[in-house]
Parts: sequence; C-alpha cells; structure tokens
Amino acid sequence: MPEAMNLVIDEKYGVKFLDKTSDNVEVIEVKPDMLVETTTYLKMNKDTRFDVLLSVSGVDKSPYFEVVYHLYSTVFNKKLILKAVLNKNCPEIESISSVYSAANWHERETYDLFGINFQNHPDLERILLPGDWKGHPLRKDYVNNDERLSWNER
Amino acid sequence: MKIILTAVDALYNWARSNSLWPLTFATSCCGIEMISTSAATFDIARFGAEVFRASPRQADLMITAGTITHKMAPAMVQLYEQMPEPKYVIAMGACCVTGGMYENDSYSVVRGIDRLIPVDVYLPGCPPRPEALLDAIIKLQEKIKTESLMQRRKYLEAHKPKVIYSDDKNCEVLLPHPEIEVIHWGVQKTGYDKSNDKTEVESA
Repeated sequence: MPEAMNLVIDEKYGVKFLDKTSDNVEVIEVKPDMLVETTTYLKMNKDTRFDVLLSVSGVDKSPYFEVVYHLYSTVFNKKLILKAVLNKNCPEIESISSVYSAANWHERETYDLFGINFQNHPDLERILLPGDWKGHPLRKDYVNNDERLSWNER
Repeated sequence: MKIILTAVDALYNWARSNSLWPLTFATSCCGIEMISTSAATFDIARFGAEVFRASPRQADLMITAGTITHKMAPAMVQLYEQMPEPKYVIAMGACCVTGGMYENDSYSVVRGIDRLIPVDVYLPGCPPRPEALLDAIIKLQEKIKTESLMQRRKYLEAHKPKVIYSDDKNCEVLLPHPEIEVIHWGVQKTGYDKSNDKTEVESA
C-alpha cells in the first residue's frame, strides 16, 4: 500500500513524496513524461490497485501549471494524489484516458478551462464552453476581450 | 366597434390570464423553487398555471428559473421564439434579472436575460421563495388583464428579431433594442441560409 509502494516506485518512475493531507492521503509528484507508466503501475499492481480515478484538475500557480490526479483504491480503501508540474509556455502532458476511461471528460474540462494539452487524447475539444470560445478562462492571465461578447459587458 | 372590442378583450384576457401554461425551463437552483411552487404545499394550480409543458409549442409563459450562460443563451432564445404568441416571460432569480452574484467578473454568465428576450415580470431573490413566484404570476395576470388586442399587435411588431451580418464571419443577430443587443450564437451556426437573409435586410 502507499507507504511501502513509494519505496518501490521511487527509483523506477522518479516520483517524489511531497506531503500528507490532514486525513492521511499521500501527495506525490510524478514526472510528466512518466505519467502513463506510473498510473498503469499503480492501477495494475496487486499491492496498490488504484482502480478508480476520482478527478483530474488543473492549477495555475502563476510561474507554472500543475495537473492534479486523485486516485482511489476500492480494494484497500486508500486515496492517493498525484501532481505533475508543467511548463507554462507549452503545457503538455500525456493523456491517461487509455488507463482510466474516466479521464476522458475530466481532461477535456481541464483543457477547456486551462488550455493544458493532453497528448494522444481521443477527442480533445471544449466540453463546457462554446466551441468557438477564445482563451482559457481559469488562467490567471485571462482577459475576456472577445468583441462578440461586447453586448454582455456590465 | 370599440365596445365590442373591449368586451372581447375582457373575455380574451380573462381566459388567457387564468390559464397560463408555463414552459418547463429550469437551468439551476431556482428550478427547485419552481418545482416546489407547483407541488402540493404551494400549489400553482390555484392560479391556473399548473400545466407545465415540455414543449414550447404548447406553452405561453416562460419562467426562466436559473442562471443563463453564453452556451445556454442560444437555446433559451430559440425556445422563446418557438413559443406561440401571445407569450410572456418571468425573469426568476437574481441571475436572470441582472446576472446576480456573477455580475461582477464572470466570463460565462449573461448579465440579465432582458439583453436577449423581452421580460414582463422581474422576480429578484436568490432564489425567490415560492410565495414570491406566485406573487409574480398574480402580477403577470394583472398585467394581462389590462391588455388590448390592438396593443398586443404593436408589441409583437416591436419584438421580432432581425438577422444582420457584420464583417465578422461569426453569425450575429440584432434584437429588439438595436442600440445594445447583439447575440453571440455560439456553436449554432449551421442552418442559416445567408443568401436569403441578406436580401431581407437590404430591403428593410
């Protein structure tokens, strides 16, 4: 389970232990280019069995972007939080929708609101906003200057 | 002639105001209050408005219960246009009246549906109590009772949407008050035959 597991995948996938939340959920940092391998391992290994993806979310920490994955193991009743740090200029990360099919729409939402490109995603399009929307509104530097929306200004 | 018209008006308005059929249109939490209004405790049926229609073709009152976003706006306008005349709108809740708590700096919320469609009764509150919705319906009934057939015709003329085109490739629609309203139709660009519309605009 998580504590023992960390020791195993530390060297193999280059993960880093970051923190523990108040309810004892481990937070680990994964390398963006090793994400698919790490999640596949966490899902398939019989000592971990993180078989549910609870959420994928993005965070704009002004100098960089962060993608946060919440995993859950129904076998061991454990949660695990994965974080990946992305470059602000070209935020790209491999899609894990091949591992967890639940990631499909979550990644589309993250793309919609943060503009993070999930590579090899089956259908990376906007999911919440209209298809011809300009910009990604939850970024810190987002300014809504779309002329088509001038009728809706305060 | 005038006497006959007045008598017809009275009958017509009485019938119409006591059988307002609302459209089932709830986009967020105000919808729960609307459901509760129609349930046994508050019982909207006492005012003849209990028949919530699932199709806009059979409804004559639109209670816009909830936040209207840019993506929902085209759908709402389309539903409004599909309703047969005479039709009325109650803007229910702070979001529909002014944008409510999203009014300041939201990127996605329409700041008051009166920028898109004409509103008869504004009902503020977040969300308003069922009693308030009943009050709004009573006020709307009072308003309907003062109408005359001739005036309604003028009202209709004023509220016909007109399609215009700018240099921008995106489809735009000019609404009743030409000085401010331009709708962004979002993804719903298909189905327009531009060649026909252009001639209409030029002739107008």
